[in-house]
Parts: sequence; C-alpha cells; structure tokens
Amino acid sequence: MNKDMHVVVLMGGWSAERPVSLMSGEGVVAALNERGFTNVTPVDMDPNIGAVLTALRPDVVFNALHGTPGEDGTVQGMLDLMQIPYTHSGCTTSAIAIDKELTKAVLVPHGIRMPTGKMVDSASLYEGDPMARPYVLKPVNEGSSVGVAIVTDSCNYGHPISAKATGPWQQFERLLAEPFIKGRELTVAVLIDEALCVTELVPHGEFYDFAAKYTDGETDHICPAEVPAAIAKAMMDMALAAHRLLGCKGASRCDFRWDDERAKPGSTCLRSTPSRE
Amino acid sequence: MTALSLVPEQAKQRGIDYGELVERLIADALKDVKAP
Repeated sequence: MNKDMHVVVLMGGWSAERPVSLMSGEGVVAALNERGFTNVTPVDMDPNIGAVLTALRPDVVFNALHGTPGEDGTVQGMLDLMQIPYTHSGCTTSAIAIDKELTKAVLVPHGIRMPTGKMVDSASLYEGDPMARPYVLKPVNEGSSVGVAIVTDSCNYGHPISAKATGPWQQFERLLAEPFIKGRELTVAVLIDEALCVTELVPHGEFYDFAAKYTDGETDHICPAEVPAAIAKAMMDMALAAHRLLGCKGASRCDFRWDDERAKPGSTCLRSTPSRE
Repeated sequence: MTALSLVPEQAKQRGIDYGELVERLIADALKDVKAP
C-alpha cells in the first residue's frame, strides 16, 4: 500500500457519541503514524466539512465518526458526491443500518431472528405500557445504548412510567419498544467478508449500557466466548448473512442475546460503521 | 474503534493487530477505485 497517500481521519462531530468518536479517531491516527503513513490529517468534523475536505483533497477518508450524521448515510452521501473513497459502509447501507426498524425490515424476511418491537409515542408511555414488562425502550437511530431503558416490574420508573422519571422518553418523541430478551450478551464482528469470532460481554452492573461499554473495567470481555461450538457457528453465520444482506463494507458488528435454556440465539442489533467496534 | 474495542479485540484474536486492521479497512475502501 502507498503510505504517502493522504488519509483524512474524520472524527468528533456533534452526536451524543462525540467523545467516543474522538477516542476512535485518535487511535486510528496513531496507528497509521506507527505503520509509516506519512500524510495523515485528523479532522474534527463540523458543519463546514464539505469545504474542509475540498481544501484537503484526501485520497481516502477513514470514517471514525459515531452516531449521526457520520453513521447514518449523510456523510457517506457527501463523500460519494465528492468522489472521495471512504472506509466502512456506504450511504444506503448506513441509512438502513442506523435505523433499527429498517434493519429488521431487511433482515427478518431472510431468516435473521430479531425481537418483534413496536414504535411508540413517548407521551403514550405515561398512560400505560406498550407491552408486558419487562421490555426495552430505545431510540430508533442511536447507538452505544444511548437512551436505552429497561422497564421491569421492580424498576423505579413507576406504573405507568412517570413523566418525572428520568429516561429516554424525556429526550425522544418516539421510541422503539421491544420485549426484554433474557440471556447472555454476545457479539460477532465481520471484517471485510469474514466473521471473526464470538465475544461475551459481562457487565459488572445489570445492563451493558453506554457507561459499561466505554468505561474501563465496567465490562468483562470473554473472547472467544465460552459457548457451544454450534451456537458460535450459528451466530457467526447469522452475522455474516446480515453483513451481506445489508451490503456492509469494511467491518460490521452484530449483537446477540442467547439464553442457555433456549435453543437458538437471536440478533438484537447490527452496526455497520465504526461505532462500538 | 479504539484498540480495546470489540472488532479490534476479535481481530487480535484472529492474529490481526490494530494497525493492520486499520490498514485493511483503508485497502478495502480503495479496492474499487479506478486509477485516473
């Protein structure tokens, strides 16, 4: 590979995941410098990004952005128009994969098992539950477990949920409600066109949330996961199938829940861009 | 995607270090680019 090419590492932006993106981007810049790349430009993205890239004229962009607009197809569409190659998935794939409902619409008909959910107006939660507890509420297009709440019988959100209780219903007008799936938290990465392995995530708290994901020592990673070989293969096959069905490029990650008492694992989420990698 | 993130962790398990992973992603991005 030509190590004199101009690589722009796009990071930061203005999503809720900005701090994580900055960590990712700085790691990528350091790695490229260590590997002898001579022309690496870190760019903390702001709304003037089009003019910035026009001036920089990179040979390739490494997309280290998390959340919107770096992960939802917006930046990808801009780069397509500018004819600048970039890492990870393209515009259409990113637009679908950032949206949990659209992702299900693509994957479920092809046999990828995902929880049946429904979109709810947040205000309706104060009148009653959208489904039997326990259930999960999540924004449809945020990652890193931003805005996720698990509503259980014993939770302190109230019955029904109180408008005064702190939760995503205060930040988002609409939320996706899904039945809570009991089980172990597992994830499979796909690199280019190969499923790598299965990792089990064991949070020290009750939930693998934003803090558990990005705070050192909050979650144990067991890699490779100690699961039966047939279960590992089923998850890796499903992750690769999802990667291909959505048209992912570069790397993607598919999250699963697997209950030892149930035969088959089910996918809960697929990410197509660098977040959560 | 820091060196401690999940994809780099699985890549390392498969013998691909963080720097190589970054380089592979760039190579993948460039594979369809036609020479001017």
